[in-house]
Amino acid sequence: MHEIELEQFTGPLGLLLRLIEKEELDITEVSLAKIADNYVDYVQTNPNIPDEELADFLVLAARLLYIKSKALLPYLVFDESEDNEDDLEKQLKMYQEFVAASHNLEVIIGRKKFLFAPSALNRNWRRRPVTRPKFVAPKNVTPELLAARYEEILNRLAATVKLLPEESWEAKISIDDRIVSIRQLLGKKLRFSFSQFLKTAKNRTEVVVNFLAVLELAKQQELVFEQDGLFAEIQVVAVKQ
Amino acid sequence: MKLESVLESLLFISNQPLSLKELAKAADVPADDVKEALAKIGTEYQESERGFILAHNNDKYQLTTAPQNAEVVGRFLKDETSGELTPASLEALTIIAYRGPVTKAELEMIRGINCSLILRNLLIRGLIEEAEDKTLGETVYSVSLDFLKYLGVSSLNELPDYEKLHAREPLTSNISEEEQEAELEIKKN
Repeated sequence: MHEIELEQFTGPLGLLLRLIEKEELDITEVSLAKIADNYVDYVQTNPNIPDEELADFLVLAARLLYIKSKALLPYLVFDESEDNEDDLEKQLKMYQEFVAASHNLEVIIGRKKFLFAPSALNRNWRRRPVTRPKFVAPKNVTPELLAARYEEILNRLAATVKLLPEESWEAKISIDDRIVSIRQLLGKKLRFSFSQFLKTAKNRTEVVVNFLAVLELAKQQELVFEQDGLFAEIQVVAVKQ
Repeated sequence: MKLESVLESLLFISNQPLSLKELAKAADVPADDVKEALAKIGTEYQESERGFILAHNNDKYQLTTAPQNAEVVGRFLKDETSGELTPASLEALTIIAYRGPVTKAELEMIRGINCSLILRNLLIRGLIEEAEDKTLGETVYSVSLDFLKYLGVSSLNELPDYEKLHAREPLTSNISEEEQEAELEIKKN
């Protein structure tokens, strides 16, 4: 199934590009959603990915799965502006251009039209071997200069650290609480529309909690889903006990 | 004394690349004049198909043998330079060549992978060089004159699609327009 050799790509984007080209897909959000599983499969089953690069491969896997989940559940996208920062399609297209450019450079290098500049030659017209570099302290270095430079670096770091946005995650609602409230709702109404219910969520976290709570109750056979046709409204119906 | 002739002598006698600054100081004329004269010299060499050309990168200039004579010269020097680069190095070099001067963050954004090791490797091999961008407060990387010699081109402008790939909008959307303008100023100078 996976005919791609690791040596043929040079990182997560390289792998993704190969997979897309292999399936003869264009680079679009839709293709990225389609290819997500192939990518995850490949990363999961390939033991040759170096440990130090694995994190970058996983970051891309997460982005692909996010894109796929958006394609499957489009109504769950609240804030389009958030997605613009994460424009994988654009990034991959740019990467593709540079990959093409690197093939051009490879051809140019392959021509071996090296330019030679005058350098000291020994008797056999061989260029003298480069002498091993040794450490020579620059004349103008003083302890004060080093201290000032170090402070500069620290200040730069401080600026970066300050820029990091502070975000705290407060678990305001728990799935257990939500299960209780859904039971109450079903006790009163017997049935409700799933999409209306999701709309009551105030943020993304609540959507997830609502979703999981309903699933959990379905699993416990306290409710069932009804749907008249493909993509029709889903009704959540209480199971009579 | 004709400036072009003076610069030619200075370049001829040096076995190191000379910076615009060094040449301007030696010839005692403003850097802009030197740049203009060097551009003229470069075109003249190429048009008259001389055995040497004027290669330049990052405002550093050097007389080198002409690319069409690479084979003869290489044999004469018993040169063993090979054309070998790993695909990952080549990819990073391509991005640095076209987008340079580029920060590590921008390089990593394009490649989607951490580039610390590869940058260090390329620096050690002398294929790229680093500089401090005072406005960004960050290290920026560009390819070295040695890499151009390795490619056999006299300047980066000769790379295919250079204008198109070089002039892309900045990738980092979170820097303000003011900063972007400042960045452009640096690139011009």
